[in-house]
Amino acid sequence: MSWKAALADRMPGELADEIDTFERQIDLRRQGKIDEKVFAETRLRRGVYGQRYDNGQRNDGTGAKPLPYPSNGLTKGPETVWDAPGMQRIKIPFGGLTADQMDALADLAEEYSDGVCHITTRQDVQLHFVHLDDTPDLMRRLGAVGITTREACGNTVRNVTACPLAGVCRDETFDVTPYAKACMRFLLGHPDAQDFGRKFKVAFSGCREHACGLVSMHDLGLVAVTRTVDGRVERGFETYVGGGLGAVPHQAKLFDAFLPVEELLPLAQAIARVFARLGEKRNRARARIKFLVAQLGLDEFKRLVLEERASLPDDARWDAHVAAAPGESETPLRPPAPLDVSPADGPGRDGFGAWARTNVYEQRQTGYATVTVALPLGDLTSRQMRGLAAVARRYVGDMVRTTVEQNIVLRWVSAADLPDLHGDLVQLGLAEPGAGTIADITACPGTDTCKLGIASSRGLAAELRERLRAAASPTDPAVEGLRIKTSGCFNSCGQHHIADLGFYGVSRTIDGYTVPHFQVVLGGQWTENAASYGLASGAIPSKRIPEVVERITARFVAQRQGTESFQAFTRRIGKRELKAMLEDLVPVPARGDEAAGGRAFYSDWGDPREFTLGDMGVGECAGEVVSLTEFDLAAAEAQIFEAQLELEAGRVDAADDRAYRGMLLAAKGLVKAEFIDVGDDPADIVREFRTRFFDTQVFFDKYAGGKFAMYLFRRHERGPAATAEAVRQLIEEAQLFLEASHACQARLAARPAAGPAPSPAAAMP
Amino acid sequence: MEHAIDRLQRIAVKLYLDPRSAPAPRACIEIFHRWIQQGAVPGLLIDVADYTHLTGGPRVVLVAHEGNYALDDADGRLGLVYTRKQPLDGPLADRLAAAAGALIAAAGRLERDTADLPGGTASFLGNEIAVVANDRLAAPRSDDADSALGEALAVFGVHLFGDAAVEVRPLADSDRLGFAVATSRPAALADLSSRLG
Ligand code: SF4
Repeated sequence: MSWKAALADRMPGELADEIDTFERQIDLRRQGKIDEKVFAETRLRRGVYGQRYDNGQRNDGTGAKPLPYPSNGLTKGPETVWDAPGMQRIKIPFGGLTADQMDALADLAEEYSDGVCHITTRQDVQLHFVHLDDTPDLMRRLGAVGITTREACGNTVRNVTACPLAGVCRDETFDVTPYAKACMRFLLGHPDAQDFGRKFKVAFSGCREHACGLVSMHDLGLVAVTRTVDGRVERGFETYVGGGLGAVPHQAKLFDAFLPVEELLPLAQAIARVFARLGEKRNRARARIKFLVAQLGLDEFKRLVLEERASLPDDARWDAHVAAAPGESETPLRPPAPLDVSPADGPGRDGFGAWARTNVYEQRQTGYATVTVALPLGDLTSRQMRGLAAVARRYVGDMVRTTVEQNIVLRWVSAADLPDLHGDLVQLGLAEPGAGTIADITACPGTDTCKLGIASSRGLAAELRERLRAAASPTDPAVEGLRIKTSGCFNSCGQHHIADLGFYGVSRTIDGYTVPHFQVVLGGQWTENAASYGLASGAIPSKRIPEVVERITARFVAQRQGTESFQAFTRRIGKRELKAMLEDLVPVPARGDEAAGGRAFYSDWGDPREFTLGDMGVGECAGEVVSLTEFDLAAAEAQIFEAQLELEAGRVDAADDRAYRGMLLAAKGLVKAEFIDVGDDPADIVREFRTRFFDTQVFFDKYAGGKFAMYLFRRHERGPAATAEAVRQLIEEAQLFLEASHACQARLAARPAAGPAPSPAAAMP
Repeated sequence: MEHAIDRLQRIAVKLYLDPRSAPAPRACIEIFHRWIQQGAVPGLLIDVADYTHLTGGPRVVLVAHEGNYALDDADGRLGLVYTRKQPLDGPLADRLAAAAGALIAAAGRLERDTADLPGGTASFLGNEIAVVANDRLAAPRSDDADSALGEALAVFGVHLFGDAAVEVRPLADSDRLGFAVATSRPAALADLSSRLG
């Protein structure tokens, strides 16, 4: 029995097929039949990521040492060794998790990872140290509980995020959950969202004022708004485009002050098409949509998008996906009831008061609360995840969400249940107070697992968290609400730009040694959807960052004017003064100066090895830019390979069908290079292929002319081959057709760069 | 007839630390890094994952290709776990012995490497080993799988502890199929190791 057989009827057939195809692609790559770059992008689009040291080398503190994986030279991407453990990113749209899904995640963490689940700053879940060979079964087990990892990574639409309080928030305009869900469903696998030069991130927020949605730092950000027309309240979105953090953060620009909800999906599609058509493809560093918006100017970008929108043929899914939204609502598990104890600590309720003060949010719905389970560094063990699923079943059912602050919230808790719920969380080691305070630090994976990490963002976060918790009582209220965020490098996955106190990893060379440092970024704005970014205030040795936090927060407490915000305070003090007050922390003692603790400066937090940059690799955040044609050719290869297996098993009809489908896929891939809207109908594919590649002789081989194309035409016109012998011949022809398609694709790629020809739809007025 | 359990490959084994003498999890970070430098325990040793901020699970993991070593308190008791990931040769009995062998070697090394630690010397209890089938397909929680694994572990326990009267009891509060194999005649790690050959 295999997981494939055991779960065959537990997921949609389409998803099962996709995973089977991915498994075949793994086999083909193992046989060297898929190019490593194509395979890398293929796996990235399934959330299968590389991890630090997967180039087969690691500095163990005494020097760079080979990691002799038994891979025999086999790679799963450029400089990425097959057997090296990797990371599996699991998309959790809008952070919504069911109890069954939590159980499944716990199981997978135990069996395929290291027993720990990690919540990311974009509401995903990540498992680390996963072997590539385990990923198909891992995906099947996720598929059986309704999760797909498709497009969790790569140059695709990434996880669609939304406020974790959507639907229960006291300040929201309306619940954005169903719209986030609709957007996710519509864009997942959409043909118009497959040919980007880089990733595309979408976020929803229920209001302008609070931070939960962080729309200003997204490629497409949507804030719920309403307007009244003729006495009728209409829902819409204040729509932003071109935001993003990264090395150079961009604030998103207002695209439309009121986008009616009915226009949400068509506009998202139009933006995707414009981004795919005009976005940078070769230079990854300038391929996010923010650069396209900057290059064209907002007005021109908008004009192009609206023109594209006007040319889109109607799609029934636009309405189908959003029509039901206003009526969608959650049904609480337990009746509402007020909390019947004082939230002060009392006998048997150790820590309840402190926890309730920071971790409980009173919902808009009377008698209900949302509880934040604060996760240190976004981590929880498999046992805790499973225990939390049981707690969810007991108190709230499936109303659980991950948050961009790397926590988990339980919504719709009947307020009277809070003491018991707290008690259950204590048992699980999950009742830590301080959610949303300065001790609730966000951190990217950094040098722990990320190939691009320079310094240990998690090590620093763990150290700061421990110190702040130790000093937590009493923390000055002015300081308690501040946010600290750490990133391992300038790429800002830890979102340091929008923190009050942000840090990102850099290095400095002192006497020939590399010393870990963090650049200090002060005064970013978390609220109002990440309304402004902080200012870099100098690089400080990693081991002195705790002093930076102490010094700056102490000065804020001492010199704050009235209710002055931290942002206003840093602006008032000024960058020069901020830098000056940290100046004495900059010098690094000599390595041999034991009295000054010299040696400690030359290693990073939580890692006793001597610090080095030698372990950095090439990131996979964006993946390789692989054309749609290459994807289809890879899929065609898998089909034709499968045809051979079917024939060997005596299933002649199935073998014939797969060989035919393989040729169709290859032909479709070529057609897509010119006409992206080609559908799946074999007649359409063959017609378009004939017109564009056969009649024009573009497909012709130098010696064989159009012979290979005839294989496709003949099978298409005559129908299935009747005998095993005929099918064997067809498979051979399919293989030759595929080779000719590869050759044709190579000739096309070698042509001087030119923008793809507009599709007929795009050319319409 | 062959039982699905006979194909079990993902085996996790745990030895418990004497609570009166256990190192601080933080101390194991440096030790595990040193093990990588020295190739101190079996396997292709890759990296160290620091989870000292968590409780109720792995606290520090030495990630290796064939199987991970972890200081772990998932069941509320601190100990060392070896979780096998790559397939092992031979029948189930051999695979159990191989996994236990890797664990006992690492436990012995941890005792030696913490001998001079002011914060706590590791001392393992030589009277109990927990074995978990870390594969819900080969070893689902069913009566059938339960008795098949229980029987295999009774034989394994006799072999490991050299005691015909080992006790095999299901692990409490475990989501996976698992047993504690215990003896009333505790043995030193070196003796356990030599019995496994
Ligand atoms: S910020 Fe840098 S170190 Fe952190 S996850 Fe992103 S790329 Fe990696």
